[in-house]
Amino acid sequence: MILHGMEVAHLRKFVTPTRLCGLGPGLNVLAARNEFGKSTLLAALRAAFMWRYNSTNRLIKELRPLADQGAGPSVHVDFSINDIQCHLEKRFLSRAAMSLRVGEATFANADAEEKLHEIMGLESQGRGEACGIWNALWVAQGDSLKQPELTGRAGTSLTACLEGELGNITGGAEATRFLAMVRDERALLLDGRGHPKGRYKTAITEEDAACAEITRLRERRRMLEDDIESLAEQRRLLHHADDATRHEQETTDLAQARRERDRLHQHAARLKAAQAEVRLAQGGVTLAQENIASRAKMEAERQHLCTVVDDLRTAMDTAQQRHERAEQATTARQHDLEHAMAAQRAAQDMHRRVSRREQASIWRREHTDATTLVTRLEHAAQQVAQAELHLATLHVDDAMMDRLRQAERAADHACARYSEQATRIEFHLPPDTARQISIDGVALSGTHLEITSATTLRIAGIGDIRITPPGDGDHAQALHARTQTREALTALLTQAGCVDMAGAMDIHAAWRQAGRAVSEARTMQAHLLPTDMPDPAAALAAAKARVMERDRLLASIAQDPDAATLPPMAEVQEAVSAAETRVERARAALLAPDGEARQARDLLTRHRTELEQAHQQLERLTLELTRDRVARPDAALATQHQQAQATRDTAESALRACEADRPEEDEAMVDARISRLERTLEERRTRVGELRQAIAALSSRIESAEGDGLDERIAGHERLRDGHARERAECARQVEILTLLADTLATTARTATEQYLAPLTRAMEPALRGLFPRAQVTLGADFSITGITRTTTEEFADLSDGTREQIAVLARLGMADLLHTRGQQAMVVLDDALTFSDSGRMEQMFDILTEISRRVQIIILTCRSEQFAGLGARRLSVEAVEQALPL
Amino acid sequence: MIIAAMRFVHTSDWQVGKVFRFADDDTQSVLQDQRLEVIGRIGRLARDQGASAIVVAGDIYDHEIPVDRTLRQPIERMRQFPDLCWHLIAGNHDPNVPGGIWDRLHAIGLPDNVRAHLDGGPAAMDPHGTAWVIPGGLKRRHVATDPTAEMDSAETPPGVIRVGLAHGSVRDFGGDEAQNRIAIDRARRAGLSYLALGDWHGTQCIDDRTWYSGTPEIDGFDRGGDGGGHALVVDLAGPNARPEVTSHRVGRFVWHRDTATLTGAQDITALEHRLRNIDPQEAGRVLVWLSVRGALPLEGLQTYQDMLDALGSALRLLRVDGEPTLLADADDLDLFGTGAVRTAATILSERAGQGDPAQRDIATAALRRLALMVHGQKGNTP
Repeated sequence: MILHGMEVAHLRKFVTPTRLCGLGPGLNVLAARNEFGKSTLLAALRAAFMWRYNSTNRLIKELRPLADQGAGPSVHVDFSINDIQCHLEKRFLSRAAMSLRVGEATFANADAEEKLHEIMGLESQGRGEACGIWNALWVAQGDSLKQPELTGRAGTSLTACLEGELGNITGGAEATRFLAMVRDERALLLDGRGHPKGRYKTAITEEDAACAEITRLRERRRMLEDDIESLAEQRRLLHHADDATRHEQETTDLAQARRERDRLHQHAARLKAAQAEVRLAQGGVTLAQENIASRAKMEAERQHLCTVVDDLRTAMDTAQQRHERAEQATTARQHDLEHAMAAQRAAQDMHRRVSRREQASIWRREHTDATTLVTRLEHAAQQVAQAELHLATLHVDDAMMDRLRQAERAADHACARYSEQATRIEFHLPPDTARQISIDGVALSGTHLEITSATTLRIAGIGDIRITPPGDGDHAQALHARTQTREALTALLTQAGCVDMAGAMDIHAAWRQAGRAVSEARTMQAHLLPTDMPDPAAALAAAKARVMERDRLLASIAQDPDAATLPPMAEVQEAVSAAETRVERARAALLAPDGEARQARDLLTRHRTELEQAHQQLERLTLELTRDRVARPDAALATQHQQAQATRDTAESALRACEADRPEEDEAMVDARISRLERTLEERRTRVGELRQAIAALSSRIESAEGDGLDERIAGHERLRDGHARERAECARQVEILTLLADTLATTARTATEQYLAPLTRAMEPALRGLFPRAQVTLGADFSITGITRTTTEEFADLSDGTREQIAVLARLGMADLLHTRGQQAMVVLDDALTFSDSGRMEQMFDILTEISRRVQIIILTCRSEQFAGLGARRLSVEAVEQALPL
Repeated sequence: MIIAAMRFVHTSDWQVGKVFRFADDDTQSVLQDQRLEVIGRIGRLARDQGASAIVVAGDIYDHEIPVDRTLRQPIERMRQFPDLCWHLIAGNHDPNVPGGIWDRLHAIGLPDNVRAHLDGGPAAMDPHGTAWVIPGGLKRRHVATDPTAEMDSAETPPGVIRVGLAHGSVRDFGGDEAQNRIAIDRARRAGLSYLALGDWHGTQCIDDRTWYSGTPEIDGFDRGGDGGGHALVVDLAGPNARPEVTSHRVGRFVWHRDTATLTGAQDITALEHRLRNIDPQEAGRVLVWLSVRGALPLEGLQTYQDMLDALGSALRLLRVDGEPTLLADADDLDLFGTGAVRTAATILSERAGQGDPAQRDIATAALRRLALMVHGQKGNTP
């Protein structure tokens, strides 16, 4: 197939009619910038051949120009097949139509579509699209990296072509088809991971479920058997427990035991009554004895009370005498005490008078001391004031003296500096000679001379020598400094009130002396001050106040005219002590008789009270005894005692007779027997009840389980299990059969594929080895390149983008070359391919393209015009067409 | 002395509720249903033959613990014949164990015309006391002693017909331990007029007075005797008279087991003809268990498959074991054409002829499957 020309209109950016010019056999290149419309032209070519004219597919709608969505895209193509000229026109969407001219024959619409499919080897695949080998040979932008997809008619035609090479049909396609059918059939039984699915899985699941149910039912069956056995055992136990004969015997025994126990109870009651009679009779005896004893006791007590009364009367007399004696002694001692207390008061009065006299003496002494202190303080204050006044008149203190000394040292230093600037003349002249020389009119003396200003040296008889020291700045500065320092010294001396340093030093010495005088006066004053009052003025005021206070106290004491005659204090105090001692003694003497009197009084009172009580008791007891004897004489009491003893003897006889009549059975044993029999009967009743309940429960459970028909249900589930097992086994067998069939078909199909792929591999190898020397490719059954073997075998997906693209292009070129060689139609379009190739590979690809283009038309659409300039291809152009396209 | 005659029906091994594991759900349902329907046919046979009593020699039920519906169903069927007295004993499938199926029936309450002889004591078969039944039912599934041993000493009124009714085997079939074993001369020893036995599913005459009635509805492909499907009408002119026993077919289904070796189309045709003529009038009551072997060409395989499909629809049940293999000669392989498919067929054919039987079977089936696919493709090719 050779494409000679193509025109498009109302197709994306080509709104106006546009023609692709320059097409011809061999290599064709349309080099244009991006967004030029190269891919649109390929899309138009694909639409013209691969899409039905009346398709409304989304891809067809996308062909409409953006500016005019109502327009119908149209494509005109001129091409030749087997040297037969053909012209194809298609208009899509709006007023869709198609025409095809093949040689002299013209077809329209559906007929044209069918004819086009026939001559192009196309196959409809639905949705208005056709497929064929062209899908693989016309490579759109971005698809050059992908391998060609050869499905349906494309694969068939290529396969047929390849099998034709072998001279017979390999059957690979048929085997592959059968393989697909087998796999589809197996896929109904196994999933992708080889696990059962569908009815196979259902059979397994149902079989497992049936087995589980059988296991459960058998377990219930086993439990039912256990229940039945338990029921039989329970019934046996019930029969044993519910034995009427044993029950009757035990009931009789219980009644007999209860009667025995009643007899024992009656005897115990009689015995208890006899014992009570004995205890009652003994009580009567005891009561009679107690009455007799009580009367004797009362008589003895009366006698005792009479004795007590007599004793108490004697004691009262003695206590009365003792009381009287104590009263007399107390009166005498009270008189002594009164005398002692009078003497004590006189001594105390004397002591107060002597004390006042002693106090007045102390106050006077203190008044004198205070007055002396006031005088001394006033004198010391005067001394301090005088010393301070003298000190104030002296102005050369230590500070002033330091300043004067500093000023003197500064003046001396300035003079020394000035002297250093002077011209020094040393001379050793005989005294006579020296007298003949004068300096500024003053005779020369000494051994040297310092000249600080212009000086005239006159040597008598000889003349004058004028000496002028250097008049530079240092000399003037030194002179100025000396002047200033001397003036400062003089000013300070004046301030200090002296004329020179000697005077100043004298004044300073006097200032030091005056300071010591002030210090001494203050020290003297400080000695007079109390420690708690350092202020002299305050101390003076306090001393004066003390004087005034003592004056007031002395004035407050009344003058005692006999003060001088009063005895000394020690004597008075001794007299007071003696008086106090006498009073104490008198009081002590009073206390002793007072205690005796009180004791005697208390004793007398107590005896009197006791006597009265004894009298009362005696009277009461005598009265009671009298009444008792009147009511019951002593003889009656004796008679009663004898009767009570006789009654007790009778009761004791009856008790002994009752004890002799005691039954032999032990009541505890009888009670134990009754308890045992009652418990046995009760347990039997309980046991029978429990057994009946257990039997009822078991019967109910058995009835329920039997109602469920366990055996029948087990058999039913076993039937289901067997059915599912058969189904599972059948599925497993089918899987095994299908797997074997699939494996066998896959093996033979692969062998066949390898056979018919060999020509394609051989067709591709020349081009491939031009690019990759000594390389071999491996093809899959779908014609895809699975790998390339150079030094090692590499998976196609692992190759670089550039290599994958080059191989993918080479595969298409090889297919096209093979198809052409086998007389099939082929033409290759590459849109923006080889974008990942380096310059070296690109040159090699150019050589391969040129070589194949000798047999197959190749159209290259590229934006890299410079790179493809060296290809030596036809240069294509896109031009506007004046007249509108027909159709 | 009045000599009385007695006519009754002898049947056994109803095994109501039996489960047929090999059957699909539909067939299972029908087979189970017919095990009940046959009771009616027995009752009608008794009426038709003028019999007043029916003795059932055990195994009324197939399971010791059936569901309540199954338990009641045969009772209700017998209730429908109040003019007949049904005498039942326990068999090894439904032994009279404590708390077992007979206790359940007792709790439910049996109709007046149904009598379960469970205690071993003789009982009158009819209101006139003409004949007495001496039961020998089983109290456990398996007993080591002869269940009919006490019949020798069983006391009945003088001059009556003594009919023994027992369940067990008069022959040892090679088991380790003889179970439910009945003395083969029990009728003579016990002075029985007739000993009605159950347990064997095929009708068997042991001696003049000892019979197995067999199951009234066949329940398997491998049964002794005639396989069952009959009931016996017993005529006794007197206690010492020789019983007149006639067998009557009451079963519905025909169970047929067959084998075939197929090597060509004529074998397939012959097999189909044979199977269709088991009961040409009513193929729907025929159950067939077919064992097949042999080898067929590709077309023969298709024919064979078509025949199976047709018979499977016509018969009540068609169970097939084995299948013919594909003839593996060169001519047959030519059917696979040339190329990869032919190569695959050759490989499978070789594998079908060697290796262990299981692998050969799989390879044969795979070859057959491939042949059918090729054949189907050719058939679909216009």
